[in-house]
Amino acid sequence: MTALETMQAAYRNRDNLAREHHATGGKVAAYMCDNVPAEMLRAAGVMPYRLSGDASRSRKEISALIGSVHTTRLVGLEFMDATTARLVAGDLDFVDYLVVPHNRKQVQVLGVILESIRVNKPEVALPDFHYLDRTYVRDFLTSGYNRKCLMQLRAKLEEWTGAAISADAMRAAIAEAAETRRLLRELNTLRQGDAPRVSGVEALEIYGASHFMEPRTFQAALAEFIIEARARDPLPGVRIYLGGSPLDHTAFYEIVESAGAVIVAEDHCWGARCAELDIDGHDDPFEALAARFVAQPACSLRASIDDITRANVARAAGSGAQGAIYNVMQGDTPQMWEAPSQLDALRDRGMPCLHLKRVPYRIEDPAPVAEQVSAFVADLGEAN
Amino acid sequence: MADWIPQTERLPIVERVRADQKEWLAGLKAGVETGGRFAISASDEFEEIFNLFDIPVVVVNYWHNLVLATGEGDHFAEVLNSRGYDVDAITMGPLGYAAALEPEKAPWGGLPKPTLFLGSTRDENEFHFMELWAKQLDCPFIPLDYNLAGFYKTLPTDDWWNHIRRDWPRYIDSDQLDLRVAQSLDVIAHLERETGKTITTADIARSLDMCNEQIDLFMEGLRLIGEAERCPVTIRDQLALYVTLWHRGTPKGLDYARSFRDQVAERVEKGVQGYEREDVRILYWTAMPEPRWHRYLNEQYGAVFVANQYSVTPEFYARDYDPADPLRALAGRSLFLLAQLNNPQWMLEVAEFYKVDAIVGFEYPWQVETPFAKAAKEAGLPYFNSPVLADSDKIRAKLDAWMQDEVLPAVTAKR
Repeated sequence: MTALETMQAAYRNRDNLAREHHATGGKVAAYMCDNVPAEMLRAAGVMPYRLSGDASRSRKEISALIGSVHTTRLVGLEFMDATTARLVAGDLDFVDYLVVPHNRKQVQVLGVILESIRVNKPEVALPDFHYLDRTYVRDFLTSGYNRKCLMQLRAKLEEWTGAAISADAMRAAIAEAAETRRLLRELNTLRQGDAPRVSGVEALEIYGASHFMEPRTFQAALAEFIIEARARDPLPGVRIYLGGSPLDHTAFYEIVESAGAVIVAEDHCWGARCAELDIDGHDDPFEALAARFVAQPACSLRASIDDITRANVARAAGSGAQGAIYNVMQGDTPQMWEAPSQLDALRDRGMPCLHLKRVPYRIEDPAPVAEQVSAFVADLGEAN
Repeated sequence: MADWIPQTERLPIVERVRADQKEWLAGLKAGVETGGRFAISASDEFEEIFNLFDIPVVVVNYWHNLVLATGEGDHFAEVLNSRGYDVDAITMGPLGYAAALEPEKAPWGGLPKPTLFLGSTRDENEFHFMELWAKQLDCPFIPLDYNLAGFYKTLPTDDWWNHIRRDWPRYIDSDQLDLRVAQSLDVIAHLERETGKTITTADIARSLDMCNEQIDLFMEGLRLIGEAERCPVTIRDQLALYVTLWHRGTPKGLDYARSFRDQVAERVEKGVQGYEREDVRILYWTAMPEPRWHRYLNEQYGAVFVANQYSVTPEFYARDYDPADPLRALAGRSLFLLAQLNNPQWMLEVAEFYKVDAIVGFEYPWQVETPFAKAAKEAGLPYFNSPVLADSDKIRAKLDAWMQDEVLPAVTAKR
């Protein structure tokens, strides 16, 4: 198996490592989104496992599962529904603990749905739950509160495991994660510019695998792959920047790249953002972690649409993309409000854009999306 | 009482409130033209404080509904969609922003430029479109963190709706509350600088006292509706009076509530029923607007909505408080006005109080029996999920089947 195949296998069989760990007596802590500090979970001696949906489950089946426990209007965001359905179905019986951050409201509501599962489906084994709060607004007033929330996570982990998290363990976990991000940034450089050597599909699989492999094993595989990829010929095709909703599986990337394009960068938490937000050096590793937590936005929910737009334009401009595709998933209403400002800003800079709305999480019929993407890519190809 | 008097005219207080609101909005425009201030605010956040500063406040949802009431909801949705957004006329909230983009078609020629947008992070959509709206008008936008959707740090698993007025601190995380108080003080300091006016603890206490009294009167009116053998006030009129809650903590709000209570009592005393026919009583368990097919249900089956979620939520605005710190109670109320965890037990308690024969919900069309449907069934109440507001042959056929197969037999068996 090549290094790439090793990472792809981990991505495609993302439960395997956590399931084995649990089966051999280890503890698994699942978490949502990219603003839960996985370093702290690892320092506590539990295996972090990032929750995602199951793209093989039909919308009908998901509706039946969620409907059976539904008691809140905060559902309908399809990637979250696909994730929640796994909990309702009892797929996650290898997960001991669950950390849900204050992120999108439809993520946050997972805590409520857990309670609803407990009441309506008592036969489903559920993990112990911790809600990692944080404010949307990031300023002097809120930073102290956010810092305290992180320390409450630490206390909860120590309660779960019965052991204190040492500064040395914390320091080691931070260093390990920093090395992973450093390598992912190297990967990014191989995607970007006018001669990309790594496809968007490959990159998405590699970013994803970083959540489902032992850090050292992942780093070794990625380092090997980077050497191999440097020797590749540049990939042909129109270079695309991808904005919009998070994608925890590759179907949409496959549609875009099979139309003759290469996704060279993206703005979502399963993609290139995994390489961001390093932790500044500090004598106290908990202080260092807290500083990042305080500075980090809650998902893409920065306090200002202008901030989100600026960040996106910078990402797109730095990627070497020739055009942008925005994929707004069915039910992703925050993204629905954010995308037009970004598209306006990119168009103002002369970047052609395609805005796709209400794209399903599970693309059962790719034709409608594929037709629009193909036409856009063909036009871009002619223009370039 | 054997003979009931159908009286389908609107309740006088509804007409008065409608006229007052129209006059108030006209006065607002005139006031701003002569240098006065006004704020646009997310609902249930800060109305009492703005009232103490004599700053008129327009609540986002209220203005949205006024825009919708012009019959131009689809047009204003298109105003947004032509700019790349993706909404429809029943998407809650953003039509006020749309009206600011095209004020010539807005009610009364649109709102004047506000002094301030006071936002909330309760809902990312509202958070985003309020920021866009403020930017469009070049106004300051201040969002407050935490609110009624942010309580998950302490999940309410009991019958919180029976305890929240007195026991509110036990449902709220104290750190969140400290932060919310600090953010509130920050906004108050901003308003003090802007207006040159200061407000005291005694002012806030007086406002909260008035709010509590207003809520007690309003709830008395709603309870009279529930206790009456025939529903004396239509759901349309009940909903039309919710706007008086934006005048919380003011003599005007208090006066509205008193008039409402008195007029309901008078109707009950006279044996008035608000609908032409009343053969089947239904709880409409949602905060969505009255559906257009309600008229069909009434005309065809004498089925009437006697209550909806807004029939029980007004009481959650009242709070017992420590006289030394009324702001903490107000901030706590913003954190937990009501729970997003919509407990079926709450629905059943309301159904029992209103003596209903059936329940209509507004849920996503799930493929299975939901906890609400299951709870209603176990309580012997036919349940119908109808996530549509428009009237059509399709919904009528479904309603016919439900009424004929489930509701009417259940009503006959009961009587």
